[in-house]
Amino acid sequence: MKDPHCKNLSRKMSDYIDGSLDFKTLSKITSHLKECKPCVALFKTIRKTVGILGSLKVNVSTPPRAKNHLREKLKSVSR
Amino acid sequence: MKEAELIEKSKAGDVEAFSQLIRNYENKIFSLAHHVCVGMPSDAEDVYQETFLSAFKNIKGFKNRSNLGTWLYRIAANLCWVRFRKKKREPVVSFLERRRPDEEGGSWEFKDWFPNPEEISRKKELQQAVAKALSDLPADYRLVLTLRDIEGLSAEETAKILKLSVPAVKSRLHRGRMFLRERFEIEFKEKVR
Repeated sequence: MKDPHCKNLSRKMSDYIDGSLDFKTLSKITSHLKECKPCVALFKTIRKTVGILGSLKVNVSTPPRAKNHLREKLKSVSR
Repeated sequence: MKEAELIEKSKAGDVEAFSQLIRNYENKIFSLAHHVCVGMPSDAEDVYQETFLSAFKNIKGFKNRSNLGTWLYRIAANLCWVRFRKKKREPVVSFLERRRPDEEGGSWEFKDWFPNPEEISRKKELQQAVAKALSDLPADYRLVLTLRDIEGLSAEETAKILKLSVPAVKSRLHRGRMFLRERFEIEFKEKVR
């Protein structure tokens, strides 16, 4: 059964995950999560989504070809 | 040589100093371009090149008290945005018209799903699914998600780079995460427990 607070609290779920809520709201969400299964699933899957995005940072580095190309272009514009 | 010194030399047109200056920022800018121009590798390289060429051209106007990283991110973000606006590839309408579960009338059925982020970083097909979901977001949202969740910048830094208010950044971040969460739920359905 959906709690009337679910929708309001869910809008603050990102702030809850990011730790940017005031103490009162944070406590309200924490106690709500103890008794609301769908909201726990929502919380877990948003947190996983954030984790997935964070994992994309790994292994992205500038291709050497692009770096060399940039150096060449910089030299030509400075002439 | 210190950054301030390299900036001064770059302002005088010294390419070598500028090349040294950008070494610490190249991967950050390429990473932003790579994720915002997801699925379009040549566009990512173009944004990377244009960012630094534009920075070199305009570095005289860079105020020394500003943060160079923020300044470069702002140039790159603007180039990404202009690129998408020109191409009109934006799935804006479909994205904005969709009813999210936390909005009036949305269904309130959530299930936990798998895999975990660690599994995704190991499996190429899962990474492709993530990239596809990311590419379906409008660039405005992708920029916020990339700066906040991939690059790990704060809401305040992101707001400064994108010239948005902090509440606007938080709102786009949440909507973007909700959209991706839902896409991942569909994508990883067979792995739902």
